[in-house]
Amino acid sequence: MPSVPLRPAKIAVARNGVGAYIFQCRKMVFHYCERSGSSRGMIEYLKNGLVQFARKNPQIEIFVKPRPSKHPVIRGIYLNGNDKVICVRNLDTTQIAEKVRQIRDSSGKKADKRFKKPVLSTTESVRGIWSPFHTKQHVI
Amino acid sequence: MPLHVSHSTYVKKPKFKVPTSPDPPARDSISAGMHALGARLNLKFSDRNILLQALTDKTYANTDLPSNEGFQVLGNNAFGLYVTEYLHVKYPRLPLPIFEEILTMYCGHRTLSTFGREVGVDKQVRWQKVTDEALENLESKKPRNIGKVTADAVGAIVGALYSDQGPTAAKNFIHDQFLSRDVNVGAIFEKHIVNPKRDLSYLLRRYSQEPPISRLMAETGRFSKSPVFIVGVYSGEKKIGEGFGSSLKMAEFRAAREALKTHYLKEIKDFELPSVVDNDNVVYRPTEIEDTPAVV
Repeated sequence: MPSVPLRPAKIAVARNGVGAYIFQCRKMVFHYCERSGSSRGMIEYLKNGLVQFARKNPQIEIFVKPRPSKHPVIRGIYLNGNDKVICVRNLDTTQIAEKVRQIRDSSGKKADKRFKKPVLSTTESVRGIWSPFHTKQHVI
Repeated sequence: MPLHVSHSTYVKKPKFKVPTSPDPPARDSISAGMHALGARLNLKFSDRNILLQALTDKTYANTDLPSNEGFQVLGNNAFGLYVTEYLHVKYPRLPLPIFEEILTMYCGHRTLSTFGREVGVDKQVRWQKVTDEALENLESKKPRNIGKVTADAVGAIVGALYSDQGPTAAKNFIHDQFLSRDVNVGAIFEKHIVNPKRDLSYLLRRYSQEPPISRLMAETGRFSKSPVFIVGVYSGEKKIGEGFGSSLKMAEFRAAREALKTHYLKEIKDFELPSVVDNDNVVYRPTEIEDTPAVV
């Protein structure tokens, strides 16, 4: 027996990936300091690794801005309005590349909700919800 | 002179400050954000300025390019064609008011503007709340709102695809981004049903089938606070619908409604769309054209 929603949605609801996949990370901001030691790895990455990453990911807008006397930071901005900020102080190039990959692959959703609601679906259960009227009668 | 504008017409402020380039962009230059948008939606145009034009609203003054109005008209008609043919072939028995509502849900204004917001079009579109002429003449025109601007820009992107890359490119875009979205067809149908028993009676009469008879199939708790009745509606020996309810009338109503849904929401799984003839060397095999709904 189908369950009836109280109020149907007024628009068609998106299902990312069913047709085309929309990449969720839309912008990445790189902050570094010219003089501080903690930014050494970041500067190295900006010189050698960033352009290749930007070419491989044309859907992400890359923005680099010096931020003097502060630790180097990477901020990823997502289509749902959230952001993810990772401080990359004292990390080397490979470690920073790993953090960049982590930000790129994220969806922008906050992590804690994923555990409260592990299954998200637009359809109800596949085999239907149990009903006593559609089972064999229990015989003692 | 401050113009009165409501909150909903403004672009929503982000929760944090998004750093942007301090230099003003050159006139009619494609920004990094626009380029990223094009890549995100897999748009490949022959000329960079086409995307720029599609994202230029008619209110925007600081440009030499034409506005996106031309593309928008073309795009809206492309939506009309491709979404209509898809729904028409997939649900051949759908009654007209429900068909129109589902069509609006897939490619109406609200959906286009929601889609634009989901992919970042609303941040890249070039527009003004009030045109320069209106400001100079101190006209109190209703200011343009971001929702409509975004919806128009999305229509314009499809129109630009149709014009620059051909109908197939526009069709694939519409199928990937819009027809992959989820619509609860059953819920829309239920919204339009007022008298299912009468509608079912007329429907069976049209097909010269036996008139519907409701039979109680199972029940529990009849005199308690929470009874459950299960009623099946039969046409002769065949059960055509089943419904549950806390009263006999409610269960009968639902059973008739389920029978109507089973008939009118018939979904074809394996079909070819008429627009497939746009590609060369393809023979179009039409699906069966179904009967009209029973007139009450």
